[in-house]
Amino acid sequence: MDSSPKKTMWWIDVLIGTATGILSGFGIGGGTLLILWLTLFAGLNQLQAGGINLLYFVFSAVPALISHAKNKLIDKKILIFCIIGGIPSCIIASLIASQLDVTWLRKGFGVLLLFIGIKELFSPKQDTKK
Amino acid sequence: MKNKVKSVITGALAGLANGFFGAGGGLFLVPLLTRWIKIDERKAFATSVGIILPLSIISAIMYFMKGSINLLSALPFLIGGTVGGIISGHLFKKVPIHALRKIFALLILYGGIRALFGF
Repeated sequence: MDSSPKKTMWWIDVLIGTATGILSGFGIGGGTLLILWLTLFAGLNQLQAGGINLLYFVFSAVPALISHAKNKLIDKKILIFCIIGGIPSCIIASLIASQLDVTWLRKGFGVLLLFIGIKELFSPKQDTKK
Repeated sequence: MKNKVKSVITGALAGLANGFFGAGGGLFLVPLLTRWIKIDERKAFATSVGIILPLSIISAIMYFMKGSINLLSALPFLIGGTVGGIISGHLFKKVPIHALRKIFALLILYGGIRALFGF
């Protein structure tokens, strides 16, 4: 259960949600930033923050996706096969996550962020040929 | 390797991050979609949102059943997120994606260090 009180005011949360929502719609990691806000500043643990983020993402992704689809920016074939791969693994992972110590969950998230952060920082500009 | 197989593997990695951490699926998706499957950068970002949506719905249901979601705490973020999503869809074609990625990288490095060392 959610036991720790959230330390931020609701209208600030709305603004943060709007800002990260713009980034989430871009697919640029708004959810990751929201998790950082919730864990570092709002005092929630990784599991509580993850739960809020998952629900929030559904709300911000739908309007953004409608525009992306209109702009013909969705690769449907890739989309379908990624979803096929993703569904079983997210079910298994979320079952395991609720059994794990949240401290380790947070450290795992930290490792993932450092790894991707370094790779992204040194990535070359668009290397696709098409 | 065929793109279908690569896509299934890429999706599975995103699903793991999504389920374990409640975020971060896109962190795997965009780099793999652009560098491994080699689709256009802007399409990779847009498509990644579409991939994470069903995964987030499933993970959210699982988290909710385990009692890890407090709806009252979530509400302000749901309102903000919806507004942000609408703005996002309209701005997306004009945004300098590559520059944003670099800023994002710095932010997650900061977050990673704090999450890992717990201060």
